[in-house]
Amino acid sequence: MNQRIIDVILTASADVDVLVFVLDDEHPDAYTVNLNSATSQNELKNVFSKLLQILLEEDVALRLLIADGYGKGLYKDVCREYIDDLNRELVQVKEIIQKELF
Amino acid sequence: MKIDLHCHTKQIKSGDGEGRNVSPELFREKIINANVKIVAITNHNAFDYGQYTVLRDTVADFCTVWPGVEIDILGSNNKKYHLIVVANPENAEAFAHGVSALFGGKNLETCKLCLQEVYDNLHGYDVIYISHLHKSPGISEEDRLALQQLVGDPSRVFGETADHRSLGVFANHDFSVLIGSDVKDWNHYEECSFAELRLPVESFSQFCLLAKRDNVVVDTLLNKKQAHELTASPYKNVMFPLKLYADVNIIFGQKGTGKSEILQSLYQDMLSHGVVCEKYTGSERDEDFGDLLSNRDMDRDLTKTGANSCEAEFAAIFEWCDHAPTLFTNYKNWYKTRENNTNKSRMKITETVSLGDPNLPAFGIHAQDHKNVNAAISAVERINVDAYLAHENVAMLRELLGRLQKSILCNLQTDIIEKYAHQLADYSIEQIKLHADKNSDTLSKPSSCGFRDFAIGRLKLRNAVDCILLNLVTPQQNERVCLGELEDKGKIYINKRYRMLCADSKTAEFDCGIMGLRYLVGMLTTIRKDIFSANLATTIATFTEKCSETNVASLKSFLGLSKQIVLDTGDEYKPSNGEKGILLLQQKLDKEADAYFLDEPELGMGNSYIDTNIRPRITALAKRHKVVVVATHNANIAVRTLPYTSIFRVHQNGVYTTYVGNPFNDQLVNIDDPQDVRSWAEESMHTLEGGKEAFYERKTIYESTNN
Repeated sequence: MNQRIIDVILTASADVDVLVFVLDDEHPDAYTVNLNSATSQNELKNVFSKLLQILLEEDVALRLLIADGYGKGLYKDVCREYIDDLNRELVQVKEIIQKELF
Repeated sequence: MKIDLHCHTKQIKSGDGEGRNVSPELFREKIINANVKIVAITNHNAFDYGQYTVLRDTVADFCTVWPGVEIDILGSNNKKYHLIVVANPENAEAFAHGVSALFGGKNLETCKLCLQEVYDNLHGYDVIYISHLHKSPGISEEDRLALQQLVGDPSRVFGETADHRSLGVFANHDFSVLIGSDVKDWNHYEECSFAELRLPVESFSQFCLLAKRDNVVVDTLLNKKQAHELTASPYKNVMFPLKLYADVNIIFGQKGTGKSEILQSLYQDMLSHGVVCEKYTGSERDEDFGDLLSNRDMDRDLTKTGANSCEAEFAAIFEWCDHAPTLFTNYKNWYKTRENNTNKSRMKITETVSLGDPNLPAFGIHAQDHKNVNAAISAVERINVDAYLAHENVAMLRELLGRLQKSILCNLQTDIIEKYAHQLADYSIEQIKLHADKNSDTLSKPSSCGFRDFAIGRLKLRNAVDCILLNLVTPQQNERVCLGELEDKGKIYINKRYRMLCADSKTAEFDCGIMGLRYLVGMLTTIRKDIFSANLATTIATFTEKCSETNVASLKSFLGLSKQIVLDTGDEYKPSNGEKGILLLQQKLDKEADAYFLDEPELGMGNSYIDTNIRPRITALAKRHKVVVVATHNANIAVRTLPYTSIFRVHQNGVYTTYVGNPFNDQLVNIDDPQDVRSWAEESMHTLEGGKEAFYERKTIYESTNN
């Protein structure tokens, strides 16, 4: 099965650090997580829901992209670690789905 | 008790045919096959005493043989008729001499005797006379009257008809009728028609007394049947004793004389004696039929449709909670604090992530197999295998089962080790991180971003919902039980239908409200549609609450139970009121019981059905020594069953009177005044036929129409 690469863009929007998961080509900004706000948990849940739907159809890997001019080192490093962990769990869940456990 | 008082065993005249000759062996075989208990040898114009004794002795263990002769009589107007004379077997040898003297020197082929001559020669041997009545060559009315006058005792004179009749009840008081085989070919003897004595007699004398309606004889014969002494109560505080026989017992009388109440009280009394009883009430057939179609006796058993109860799936839904993603802030805080403590930064274990559940697919299978093999071994241990298998096979069986058990256990242990190793490892990592954070002013890396737990939670929920929805559409199952049979419609069945909730379901099929169940199914569909929705938790909570309100925790509540009446083709059928009665009555009479109580079984049924179906069934039960008590207005039931007891109720001038009697002695005796005796035949005719005039007028009309 071909693997679909989904871009995850770390950027700033009006001085707010956001992580944009490009899960819907028609609405690329639909899945944006505000890293500075408590709303990030619910926003991440939406991302997880969509990721799971896509994962049921195809193999998925996330690719972190840093927007041009974005300079906050802490967020870059944290997001790298986060996306790595998320990719690892995507693989684990895909294995579970492929073993027809679900 | 079958009797044959017109039987040939020798070809005497040319018209007899060789088929009338019979060997002792064939005679015995055919008499046993036909189940005849009394047979009279009545050859034409002759009586062979030698043959009579041989045949008599041949069947002595089974049947009584009476001596007789069939004589050609020259009647008035030179018209010939046949007259059978049967004698008391105690006088067989003397009778043989009498017959010999009567026919001495005559041509047996052509001789015709006169009645007076026959009477003079044979009446001294204690005989009965049977003339052909409406059967060629038949006796004329004038000659019949002459015969009766000559003999003097009407109970000694019978008529033999071509059609089947039963001895015991007389069509009118003028003559008695019966039928004999008049066998022409002994190879087909058992196919002949025979008279049937309602009361079994043991001797010729007893037979004659029964014909005379002798009360003592009648009572003696009646009391050979098992009887129950019961108490009847037509009204509160009114009680009287009644004897019911293990045969047909009839209660009749005008409306409003307490027949149903008497029947009910006898039924209750019989039940209290521990007798197994069945009761049918014609007026309650609608209600009883409704009860028959009630689903109260049906088990809400999902195995009928092959559906799973999905209790575990419902529980999984009720217990489900969404896994929240790990806060991004936790990652930030970990990254910010990791340099706070140098030692901590060297503990790389604090940066590890969870190993997660190994998700061993075979774990569940190994666990179940372990349970199954242990159960199988226990089951085998409870069998005495030595009784079925050779010793070496017993040892082999035990050996193989042991190996299987060990292998499964080994696999299960491996699964358990891996599963709990993962869990313990994760637990250990968490504890190390916790303590490290506490002692170092740092925060460890989150063990998981939360996606795996989130995904597994949603996928498990989806599976549970899919399982429930799949089991909701298992095909319906039907179980058919034969209810009875209807003319022109064939067999009728009660169909028990087990059907999961669907668009065609009706409220009565369920214990829970159908609207509530439909709502829950709708919610399940919604949950399935929104399985990946972020707001799923709200929908699940509503579903769980609704299930709790309606006490639904499995698919058992969704199984609909109903009954229908169907034909052989499977098409649903709605019987008419009369047909309901027919089916209910059939069902009651089919059930095995010791006593049957029927209250107006004829209600809603045609007379033809009553006579061809109900009456024979009542008679059949009586032959099986069952107590059958029928309160009826129907003449076919009350009269033609030849009841052992008739209970007649009268209401006159404000007074209720009960008469008890039977058709054998033609009496109905007032239970409070033995001197008050009525005629059974007259009261039956009046109450059940509308009176003699109406009865005979109908007969006349029918006969004139036929002509």
